[in-house]
Amino acid sequence: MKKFLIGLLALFSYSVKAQLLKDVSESIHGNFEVDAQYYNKDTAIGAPIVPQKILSNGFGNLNYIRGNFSAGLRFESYNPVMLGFDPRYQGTGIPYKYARYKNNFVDITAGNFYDQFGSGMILRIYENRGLLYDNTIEGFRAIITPLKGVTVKAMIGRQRVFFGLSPGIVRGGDVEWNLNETFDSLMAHKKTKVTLGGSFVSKYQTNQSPTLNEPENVGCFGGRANINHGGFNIYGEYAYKINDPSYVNRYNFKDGQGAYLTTSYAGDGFSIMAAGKYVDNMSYRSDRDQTLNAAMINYMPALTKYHTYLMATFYPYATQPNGEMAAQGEFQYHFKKGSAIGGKYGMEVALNASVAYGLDTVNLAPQNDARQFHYYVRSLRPGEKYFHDFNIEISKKINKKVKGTFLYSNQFYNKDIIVENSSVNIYPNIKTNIFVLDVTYKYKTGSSIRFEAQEMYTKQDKGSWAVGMIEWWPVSKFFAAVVDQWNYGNDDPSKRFHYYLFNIGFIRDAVRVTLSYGKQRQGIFCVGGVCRTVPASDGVALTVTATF
Amino acid sequence: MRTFDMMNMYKKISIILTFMVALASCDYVSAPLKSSQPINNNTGNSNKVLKNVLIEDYTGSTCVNCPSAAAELDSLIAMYGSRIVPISVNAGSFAIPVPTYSLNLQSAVSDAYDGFFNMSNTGNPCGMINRKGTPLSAKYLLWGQWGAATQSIIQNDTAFVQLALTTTFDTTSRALNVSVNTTFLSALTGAYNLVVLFTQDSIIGPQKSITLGEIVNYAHRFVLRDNLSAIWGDVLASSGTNIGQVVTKTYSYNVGATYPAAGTTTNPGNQPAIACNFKKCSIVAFVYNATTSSPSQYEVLQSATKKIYP
Repeated sequence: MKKFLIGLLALFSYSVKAQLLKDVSESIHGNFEVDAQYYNKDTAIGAPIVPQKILSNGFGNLNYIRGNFSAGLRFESYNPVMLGFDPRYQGTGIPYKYARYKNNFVDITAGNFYDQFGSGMILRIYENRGLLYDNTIEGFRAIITPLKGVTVKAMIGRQRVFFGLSPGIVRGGDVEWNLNETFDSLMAHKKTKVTLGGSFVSKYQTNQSPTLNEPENVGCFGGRANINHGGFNIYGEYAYKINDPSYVNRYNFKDGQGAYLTTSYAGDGFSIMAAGKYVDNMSYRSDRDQTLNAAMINYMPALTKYHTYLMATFYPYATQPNGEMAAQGEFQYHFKKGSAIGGKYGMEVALNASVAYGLDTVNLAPQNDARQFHYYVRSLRPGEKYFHDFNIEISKKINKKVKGTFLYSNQFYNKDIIVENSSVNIYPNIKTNIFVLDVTYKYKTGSSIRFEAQEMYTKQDKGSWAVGMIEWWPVSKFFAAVVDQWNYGNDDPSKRFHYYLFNIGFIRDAVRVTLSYGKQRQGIFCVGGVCRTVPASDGVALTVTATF
Repeated sequence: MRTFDMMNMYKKISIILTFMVALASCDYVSAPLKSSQPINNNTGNSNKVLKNVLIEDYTGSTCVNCPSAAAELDSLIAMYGSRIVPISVNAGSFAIPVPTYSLNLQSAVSDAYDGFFNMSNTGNPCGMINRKGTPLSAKYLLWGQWGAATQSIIQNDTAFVQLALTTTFDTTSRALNVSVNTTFLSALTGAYNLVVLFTQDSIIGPQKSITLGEIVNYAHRFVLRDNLSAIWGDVLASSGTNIGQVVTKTYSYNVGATYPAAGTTTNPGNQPAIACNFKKCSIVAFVYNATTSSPSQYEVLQSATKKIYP
């Protein structure tokens, strides 16, 4: 760390000298966020006792840019980690730091970086502060543009695992070729745009198992293509991974493969989209013995609608990397102003359907499994059903002051697979019908009241829930809200809790402060296909964010 | 300004980088299983003390993946025999008795270790191997990591401590007397504590499984039931040791007819305590580094186990 800071200072000194020679634009920017919560004892809702009473997560990003050069770091501190996050983040440090030089031909980073090849099926290095997910690579990355329209990436390094580094080394390369840019004299003005890509990633981790000959170098490669013509777009990607025994796949030596195809068309006042995905044994981590969110090299998006309402996200789905086939379709239509249905202000309707199934597999008996494959895929037919979400969302402006959204969603959730990753039937499948009404009344410029009423009917799990919310913005820089989640359908009458939450906040320039008091139910929180369990809690929470 | 020479240079760089990536080879494995290597516990030197490996399996009856961890523990015992000192720590939300999975295998000492080392909070199943690893979070190991960690200790670690357990047990009064002789084989700096625990093996009851659903007659092995010493141990040395220094600690304990004692664990459904068959019970003793702020604080130097009834 000390050496790195000395290096940074040296680079800064160099830039100061350079400024004498040439005037170059210079800026410093960053952002800070601190979350802290005081936890009350509340054994009734299952909130764990917190001996420290107060837990906090905080971070600050600082970036310096001068011309083509940039450098930055992120300080993080968890004292201790708030409930619901991986407690192994406990500590304080600077896990992210980089120096970068970029011009039209080359882009080189020394230190930490994030990146993605294609859809991320082979490699996606990213962070999500809300989930406390960070799989940044610490090493070197070079991005070169040897020809117009051709981008070549190469990288090597080790991934962050909490405040340490993964034992495995990640090496990767990617080539992306935009044909229209390269052959600009022939294709620049063509309506059809074509982009091709190919990636190769390999990880190295020593084999220390006393019982298995674990491969130390595990490669994963794939190709992709994107064709666009006017409002039509089609994107396809295929990836293959060689034997990669790991904790997640229960140390099987089978190869893995994944395919992803999505197509869309946007016309006058409507759009249509369809996507499909096939995944077999594609968990890919730089530490084969890790699970949860640690040391993930790749990422496979869940083909489901991204809901924002509480009840619609109560049972969220995440891609099952050990095996899944999924599909999603969406149709959006805009009823124009003045039409019979659109009325004076028009109306938006979105129909969405997504399904996910397991693979049709057969387990291998140990005596027939010398290669330690554990299973084989019998056919390309769907296996066990994992999830579905059929929903319709209608948004309409009623008059100058009132607008509303109605959502209906019918969901199916295989808790055994999604939560426990278990192929045996332990829990009943959860079937829900969800209704949401969201109405905003804007009574003057910058002032509004928003009402939400949500209902989720189900006979499984904890039974039905209802949600009521009022959010008041008296001025554009201040808000107050109250939310109540009521588990009125719980089979156990003593557990029909109200989870109320009071929330106030203000925004001034680039600073946002929110203070909340109330209870949070236990649940699973998923963002971008990654989930964490959030235990129940009861207390006061403060969040301060600032950007400069 | 972009020139022809620069273009050539960037082309060369990109070709070299592409080759570098391609050179990172793939290892295709056609024979996944290693041939078993016999473990040589006989060093040819009768005075040589071997270091045992304390494996703590943090588990629970409703943890669907926990039988896999227990199977790994069994296979390590099969591989390394008496060099393994096993404990199953039933703690956290997966260990709280519920209808169907009503066995109460928790204990106050299990809760203390689980909470302090953040085991079930991070995720079950998991464990610690000789409580090695710095910082504290690095002690957390998934069962897939236990084999390599155990093998590393067996092959590389030196025993600085010798433990000798002596027990007497009266089957009528259920009075148990334990004597633990600790011999320091090297001059060590720092503080060292002795922990003495009581375990019960093969408690038959339901267990949730990822592959089999409810296993009705599952053998819950090496269940940590109580502590004879203080939970965090009794002091053997507070500021260093001498070569050959011997410390003897004795404990008198009354083996309960049932475990756990009422009111000592989270038991919302008031599930009944479990009968204790003394023929299945053992003492586990271990010496650990109790030096505050030492990088190896909490690391176990030596461990041993002995059945209370032959």
